[in-house]
Amino acid sequence: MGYKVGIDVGGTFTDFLLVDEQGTFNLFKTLSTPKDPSIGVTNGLNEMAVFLEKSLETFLSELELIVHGTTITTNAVLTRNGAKTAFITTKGFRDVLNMRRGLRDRQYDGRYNPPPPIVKRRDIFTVEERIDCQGNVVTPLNTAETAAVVETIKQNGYEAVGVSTLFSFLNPENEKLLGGMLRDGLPDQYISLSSEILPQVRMYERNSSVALNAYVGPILSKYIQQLEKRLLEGGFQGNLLIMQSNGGVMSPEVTSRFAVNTLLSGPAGGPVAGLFFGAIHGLGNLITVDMGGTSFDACLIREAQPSITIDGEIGGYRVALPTLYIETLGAGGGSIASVDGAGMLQVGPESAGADPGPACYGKGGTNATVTDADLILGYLDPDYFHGGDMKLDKMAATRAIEENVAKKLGVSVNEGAAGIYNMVNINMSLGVNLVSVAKGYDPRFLALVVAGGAGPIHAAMIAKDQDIPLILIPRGSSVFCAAGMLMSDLKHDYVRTHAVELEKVDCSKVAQICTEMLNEATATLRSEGIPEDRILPEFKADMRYLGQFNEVSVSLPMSAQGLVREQDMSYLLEMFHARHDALYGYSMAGAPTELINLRLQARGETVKPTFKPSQNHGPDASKALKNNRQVFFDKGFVNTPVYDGLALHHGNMIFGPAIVEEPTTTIVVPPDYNLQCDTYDNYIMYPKNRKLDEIIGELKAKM
Amino acid sequence: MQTKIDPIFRSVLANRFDAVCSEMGETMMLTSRSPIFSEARDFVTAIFDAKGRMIAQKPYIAVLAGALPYNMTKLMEWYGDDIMDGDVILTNDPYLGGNNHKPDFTVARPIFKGDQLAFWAVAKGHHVDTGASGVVGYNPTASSIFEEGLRIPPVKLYRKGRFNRSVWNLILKNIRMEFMVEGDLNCQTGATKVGERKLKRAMSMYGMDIMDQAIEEILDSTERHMRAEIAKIPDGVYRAERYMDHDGFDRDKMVKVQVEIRVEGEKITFDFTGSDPQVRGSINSTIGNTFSTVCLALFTTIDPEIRKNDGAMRCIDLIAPPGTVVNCLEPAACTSCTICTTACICEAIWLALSEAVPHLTQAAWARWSAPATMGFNPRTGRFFGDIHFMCKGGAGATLGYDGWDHLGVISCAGGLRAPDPELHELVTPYTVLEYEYLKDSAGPGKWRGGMGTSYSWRVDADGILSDNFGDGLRPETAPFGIAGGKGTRPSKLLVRRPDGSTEDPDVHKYVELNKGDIYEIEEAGGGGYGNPFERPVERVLDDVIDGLVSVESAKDDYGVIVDPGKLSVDMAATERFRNPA
Repeated sequence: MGYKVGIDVGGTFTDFLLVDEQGTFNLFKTLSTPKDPSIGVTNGLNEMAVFLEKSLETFLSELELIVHGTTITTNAVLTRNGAKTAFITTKGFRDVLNMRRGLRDRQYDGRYNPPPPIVKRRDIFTVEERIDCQGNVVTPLNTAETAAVVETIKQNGYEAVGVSTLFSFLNPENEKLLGGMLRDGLPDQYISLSSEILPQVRMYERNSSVALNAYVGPILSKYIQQLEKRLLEGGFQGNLLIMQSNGGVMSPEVTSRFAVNTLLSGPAGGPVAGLFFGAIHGLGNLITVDMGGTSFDACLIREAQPSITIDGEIGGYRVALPTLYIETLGAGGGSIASVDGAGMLQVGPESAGADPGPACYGKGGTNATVTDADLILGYLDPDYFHGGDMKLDKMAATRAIEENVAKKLGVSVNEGAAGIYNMVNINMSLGVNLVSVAKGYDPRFLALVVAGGAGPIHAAMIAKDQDIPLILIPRGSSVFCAAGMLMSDLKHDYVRTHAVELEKVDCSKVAQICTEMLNEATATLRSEGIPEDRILPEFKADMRYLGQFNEVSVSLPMSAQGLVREQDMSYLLEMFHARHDALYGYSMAGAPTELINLRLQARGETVKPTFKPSQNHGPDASKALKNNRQVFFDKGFVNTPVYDGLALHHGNMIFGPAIVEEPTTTIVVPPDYNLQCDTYDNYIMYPKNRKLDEIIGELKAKM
Repeated sequence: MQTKIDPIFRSVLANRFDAVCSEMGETMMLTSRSPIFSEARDFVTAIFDAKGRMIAQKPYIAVLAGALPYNMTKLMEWYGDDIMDGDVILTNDPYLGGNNHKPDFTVARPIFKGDQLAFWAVAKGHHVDTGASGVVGYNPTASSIFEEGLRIPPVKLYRKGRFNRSVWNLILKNIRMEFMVEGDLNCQTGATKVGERKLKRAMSMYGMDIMDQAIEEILDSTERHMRAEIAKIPDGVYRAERYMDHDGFDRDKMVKVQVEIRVEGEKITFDFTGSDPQVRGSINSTIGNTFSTVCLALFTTIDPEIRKNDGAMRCIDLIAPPGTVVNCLEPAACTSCTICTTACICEAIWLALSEAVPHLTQAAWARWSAPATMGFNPRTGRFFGDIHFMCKGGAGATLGYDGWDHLGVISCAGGLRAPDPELHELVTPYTVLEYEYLKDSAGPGKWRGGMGTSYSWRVDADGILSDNFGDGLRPETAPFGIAGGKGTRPSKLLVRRPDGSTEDPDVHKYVELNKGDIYEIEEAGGGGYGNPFERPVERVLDDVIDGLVSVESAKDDYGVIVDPGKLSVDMAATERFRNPA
């Protein structure tokens, strides 16, 4: 029996998705064990074995794939509990890392502290060496000085060392020599070189990425070793893969070297899962959103490819390796509503969190939150929150909104609650706008895939504000990320800075660099068990108009023989002008352009589980009708039918206004929307004045 | 129709306006050609209404923002009823266009609803070349505006949507770095286009009537917020004066800015009577720049969350006598005002306010003191122009917080992104030798100032012109501490020639740089806050271990006795030294 398991370790719960060979899937949940997360993981595997009425050993031996998402590195950075890390850089440039380019976000506010350093100044060493801007070694590495630094690092119990020297992306000679001395002198320490992790121009961004890699590397390596050991001892012989920030997965060995790639992997499963739910309807242009307790994540997917950024950030430091471009805003169920000094309503970014949480949780919270507003407006049932596990206190919610919002604005509690609802919707809508319109893509031709406990309460309003015609709501939002993990391919990113004016470009040199990257990628993917015919390379070129300081990424065609031809360059140029225009409102035909970086994303296709479709039950949803209650829409309360989501099946139709309740989420269907259950029992919502097949047809046509 | 606007709708709309300004700013940052826009973010984006009132803004460079209302007033006066849909208007003129100074090009696009003017989208930024005989717009020998580069009164880059070729040609053919200026003008035009797209969408969603009413309420409520903040400052009259090094002509005479702040209930007046008459050199501040600086000094002291729109600005009463360094008259030179004079005005206001609200006021930031340079780079075969923005000084400390390191200059209030040293070398004929924190540069205090910077580079080409357009090289103009905190050493500049000779670049002076020259800069840190002898011993020790504070300074300035070998504190000796019997 070939089982597959997706494991998503969250702050409170660890979610498991178990899929068997027939495509039947089941969800499991255990409490996370932050001290050693592998305990929580083993507990979950035990539960699954019990569920399947097998011994753990038998289950593990039948388990062919585990895809594992972990926030262990993320938490280490956010709480500054990483490894004791040393950092080595070029003499004269000791503080580039901690200067963080000299920015302060809140410009008018002199009363807060900068983010605490990842590596303190006392732990940053410099050595004499210099490469010039053309890649020449003008000062060779001072090896005597380096030997002394290695000795100091050895004596002082550092667990990891990050190295990044000036222009090492052009010529890694000095850095490699330094790395060799470190590896010889410190065989037990985690050593990370910028020329191995990110050979790309921009010193702070490179330094920061390497420092973070060193800072979390030992922790991740140790955790993976523990986990592998536990699994192996239990009889597991399948594949273990680790979720990455770029939406792909990697083997444990590669992940241990590129630990920085897991830092932003928490929300990365979402977009990949979104891809899967879109694919059910043949849709590849999507925006996935996830609204939880404290934050809202939005990601654009174009032609089945999630957007990528190199502007990632964590704990005030930059991660310049490619990661999924996910816009995160402080908008969630716990977001706090307040009235500022000018009498303006604000919602978020501060959150009441889970403890004390929203006022209606009855745990002593007095802040008015989005969840309180959702309760007052009738979207939430006080007796069926988390399937009835938790009773909500409507009186407390009323008091909180009255005190913090209604009185200050001179409006009723209901108006105040509607205001909070509207305001948080607008904030999220702007987040959606940032990933779509601001990047040159029209939301009218995208579908919205919604996850997170609070997401489906607000989804229709976001879609309406952005003219998004179709909303997909996967059943059971917890499945969302775990399913995404099982759907992920292996993905490795490579970059080489090759700065040259496009008209002076030497095609054979470009081809040579691309081939080098491809060979590296092929070797890595093959070591991870991917046969050559499942390796899919995608080359990109970062380009800009001569003299610009930021680049636009454009696809670089390359023939199967590894050739780059003259006409490929003119195609590249055309694509660049078009993309620049779409992004920024202008392009400059005829102006000189330059190539900066060549990139490769190499995908190793994994074998995906198939999910079993459910039987069509026809449109009648009346069996699922629970009751009616007063729910606020637009200007007032309306008597609204409430359906039990667990009793809804493939084919069932619901006409707004309506509420659909699931144990972990609630779907609000406004009066001008309809809702239908699709072949996998997921929900699909669309405006009443449109026909579903027409919308889908139009979205497909625009792909 | 006079209905009361839903307070929630006005909150939503205010959010939308902010978002539009941010998006315009993103466009500028990502598409600019000059490092001054894209790396140093020396620009601002804003939305104005049909009456020329500022509704929202995104100031990457704080000091540019407050002058925008002066721009828009002049520009609307200039064109009167000749403002058409599809126009894009440009000006850089400090007198005819209400600009801070000439290197900033202001681009404004009127946005129409039907045939009615509804909004303006505005993008203003510092250009790399204005055609002046100076360096990146800075000309230390200029004694009038006519020597400070091309003067562009309000002109139309586009007229009714049609590209106005003659204006573009006239501008671009008068400057050296044509392709950069052309690129950045396109980038600004593109940003206002993005603003137009967004505002048109909002207009069609909400309708103009309701938006107009909401705007009134947004501005009025901001005014109420601002007045409530002013009322928290104790009534009284507070005075201070600060100096600039000199004007580049009379090198022995410091130039004075004097302020008297009068607070009565919800009213605040900034009276600069007594400031020096306008001078020959370029440190004269235009009225727009002075007003902008007053906003900056005040907004960095009171609630930072106040919306920086017309509602807030209308609460500020400014008295700046015409013909002085804080309100210069045509044709006074004024290019250095956004740096030198802004810092000086801001310091005078903070120093005065430190008497009224010491718990809110910051100690002085390091003044800007580093050159702009310009020349030909033989390696790339192109002209280059650069401001050495790596020389960021320290910020001043406040009650409870150390100043931020490497954050200056105050004109930018922490929005100035330091350039990347690698990209810098790829464009310029320079080799950076050192770029680190400068030891003992921070002003001691219970909360210390931010660290200054040690920055030096070797010149790899001949015939490069430089001009230090900042100041702060004298003890009188170095950052001060407040509430018992100490000030810092002045900044220090030196050019070393290959033959062993040296030249003092001073300020406002052309210095030619040639192959092999080494330019060394020690940029000051920020002023400290509170008695340094009250700084916790462990924090002083931390700074010593991190190599930011010397063992000597730990003793002399902080009264902490550190063993230089073991880097440990002698607690008993420290106690005796800090509290002598």
